[in-house]
Amino acid sequence: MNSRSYSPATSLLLQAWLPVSLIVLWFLLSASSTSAFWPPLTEILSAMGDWALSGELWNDAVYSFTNYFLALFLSLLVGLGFGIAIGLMPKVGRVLDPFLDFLRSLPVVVFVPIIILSLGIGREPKVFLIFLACVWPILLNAIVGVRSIHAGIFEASDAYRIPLRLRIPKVVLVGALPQIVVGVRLAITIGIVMLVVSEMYGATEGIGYFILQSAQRFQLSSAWA
Amino acid sequence: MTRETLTSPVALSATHVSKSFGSGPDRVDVIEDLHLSIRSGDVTCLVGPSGVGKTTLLRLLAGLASPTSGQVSMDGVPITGAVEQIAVVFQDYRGSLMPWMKVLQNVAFPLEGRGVSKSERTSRAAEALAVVGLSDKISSYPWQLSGGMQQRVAIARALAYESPILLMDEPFGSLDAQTRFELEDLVLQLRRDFGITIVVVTHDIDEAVYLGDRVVVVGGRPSRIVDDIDVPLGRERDQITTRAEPAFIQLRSHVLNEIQL
Ligand SMILES: Nc1ncnc2c1ncn2[C@@H]1O[C@H](COP(=O)(O)OP(=O)(O)OP(=O)(O)O)[C@@H](O)[C@H]1O
Ligand SMILES: [Mg+2]
Repeated sequence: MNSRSYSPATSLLLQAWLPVSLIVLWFLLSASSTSAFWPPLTEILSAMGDWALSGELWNDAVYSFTNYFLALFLSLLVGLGFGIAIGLMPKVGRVLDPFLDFLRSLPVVVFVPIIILSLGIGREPKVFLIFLACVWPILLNAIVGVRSIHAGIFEASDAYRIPLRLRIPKVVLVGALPQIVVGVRLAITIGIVMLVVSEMYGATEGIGYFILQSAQRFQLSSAWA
Repeated sequence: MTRETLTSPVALSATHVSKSFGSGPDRVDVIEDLHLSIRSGDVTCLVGPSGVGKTTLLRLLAGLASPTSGQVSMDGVPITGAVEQIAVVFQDYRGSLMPWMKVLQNVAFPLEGRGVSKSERTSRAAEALAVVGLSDKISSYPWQLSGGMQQRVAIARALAYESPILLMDEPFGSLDAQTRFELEDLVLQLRRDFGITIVVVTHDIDEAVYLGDRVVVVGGRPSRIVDDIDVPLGRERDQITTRAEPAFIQLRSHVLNEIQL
């Protein structure tokens, strides 16, 4: 090993210089800002402090993240279940593929008002919305993952009569795992976005609700926080 | 190893077997009205040019595909799917081993499905790997091994399965001559030591004559059996002396003629 290696502090600095300098830039540029839409960073930070101190931050965060993890868990269950089933059945897949492509291309955001209207403003519609956004990347990547497994692997599993209870976890899931990870990563990010969006419509609690409330009351430093 | 034995002198038989793919104008008749009996205890070599339907025939014999018409029987009993008594070594060894399992797990995995206990799985797999000379590669991944070693793993997997019949689809097609000779002798050793009934599909005429107690020539379109020859070379073979025998040379040119027809 004679390649250049950096001390931990140096490598942290190397990785962090961009976000750090952006924050410093934001701080400098916004310090003198008088625009109502770009509150100074100092105010944003103090608003965040108030929010945290008042205990509301924790209530909002707990509420939001319970929704988020519940939805993520459900979409994992449904996405992997259906994804593996569809991936394993090429004929079913050929029939379903056009539908899946169509459904995937619909932006979930358009469903937000519809679902809030039909399901009300409780916890369920929010979980459902996040679920709806998260399930697609997991489902589609699981299908692709299963289909990417070499045909010879399935042929060998058939020849050696590997029963389904072993085949699903030890052949199919493991074989599709790299692609499934891609899907889950996407879902994690999309879920956060949907979490905020879902709470902007008809919510009484949560992080998105806090952002929206602050924005509507022109408490822009809170919204930015 | 305790290996189940066959009761009938005919291990596998195909009667009036036809196989086509597709339908309508896209229909391809690959095999038509084929008859074949594989004798228990023999090494039977199926030779034929590329694309003639050898893999298709092997998959039918293994119960991995069902004939469009006709019937395949194992030990006198019709088969409709894969059976415990048949192990298979595939043409594409790279695609048939699980890359996420180590060598030992690959060999032991089929036994898990049969409900064999973990300690017995491990000892049977280790034993089979010792037979193919891979005791020192037990905890490597298949992709860390050479092609010849990977095919040895596939053979060990078949061996640990302890089935009385072994079907091999062009097992050594993509290996160098030296490795090929070694593995051919390994196949003969399996027949001698374990009494396994072996079917080897190949397009290499020399290999077919060297390995086979019987050489079956497949040809035509749709394909059928062109010739069926008992090899008069005895059961003990040697890479140098057997290949130099007049009977060997005469037989290989006989088969070569038939394939070129
Ligand atoms: N699943 C399938 N669907 C359609 N056609 C097939 C299928 N499998 C095989 N065929 C056709 O059957 C014919 C014989 O194929 P097969 O793989 O059995 O030949 P082979 O003798 O094993 O060739 P090779 O020596 O190259 O391995 C080919 O024309 C092939 O296109
Ligand atoms: Mg083939």
